[in-house]
Amino acid sequence: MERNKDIADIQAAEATYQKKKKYILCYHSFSVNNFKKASVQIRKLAEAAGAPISIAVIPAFGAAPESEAEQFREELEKFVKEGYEIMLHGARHRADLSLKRSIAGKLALLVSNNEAEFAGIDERFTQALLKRSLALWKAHGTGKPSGFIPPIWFGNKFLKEQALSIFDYYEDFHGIYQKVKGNIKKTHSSTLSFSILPTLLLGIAQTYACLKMLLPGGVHRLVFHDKDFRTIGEKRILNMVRYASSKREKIMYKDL
Amino acid sequence: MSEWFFKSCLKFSICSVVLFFFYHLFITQKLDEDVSTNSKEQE
Repeated sequence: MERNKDIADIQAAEATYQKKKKYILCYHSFSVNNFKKASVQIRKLAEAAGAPISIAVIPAFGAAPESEAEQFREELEKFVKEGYEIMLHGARHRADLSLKRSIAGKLALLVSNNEAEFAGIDERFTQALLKRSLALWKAHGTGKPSGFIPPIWFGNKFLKEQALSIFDYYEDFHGIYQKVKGNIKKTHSSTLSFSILPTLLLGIAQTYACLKMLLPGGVHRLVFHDKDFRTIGEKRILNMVRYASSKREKIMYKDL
Repeated sequence: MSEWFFKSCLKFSICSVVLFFFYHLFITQKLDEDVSTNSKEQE
């Protein structure tokens, strides 16, 4: 009897220790082009995690017909009402190749297949693109996003300050930033994403992600894209989310 | 001193790789598990 009580105490202590470790689960690139398929995937991820998750939204409509745009808005509104957290994810995600960029920015475009929208552009264009992104978001009329995530996490030296003057959170590849009493506070956080990795490395990357969830330290971000459901597969993704949730407490950016 | 340090690093690297390999096997099995969802159970 006494021994059973000890085991229960140890298990409770282990559970409390594990729940002290936190992680963020975020679905990236929810847009008017993929919202029907993505909505189903997001709800499955949330079900596996046991709570609503964060969604990084691309606000541009592109050439989508008005009926599609209306359905996209309705879906976003539903997510907000259900307690999902919205993050803004660039304006179009895809880079405007006519803009002047630094050498690092051009390199980022090369690596990211022209997806790093904000990479290497100057202060004026960064401000304009950020405002465009917010204006496109406002056209959907569903409150204010919690934060800003630059596409492929490639920003530039002006973006962090500018984004934090508008939003509560900003992130890059190494961490999450927020303004606390006028100072920028950094939370150490690794990005665990699979979408730009070659197929050969996906297995190792999944093991690495699970190991990061197991080991202490940081508030890591487990990120999934629509593409991952084709390359990794739904079963593996949902099992990975279940594993992560058993090792760490899933939080949202606003809980930091 | 440098030889001792080199040998220690080598041993540590080999141990890490072996541990990572076993963890990889464990995780691969875990991620491929069939989990019955609530909706399936209700059916």
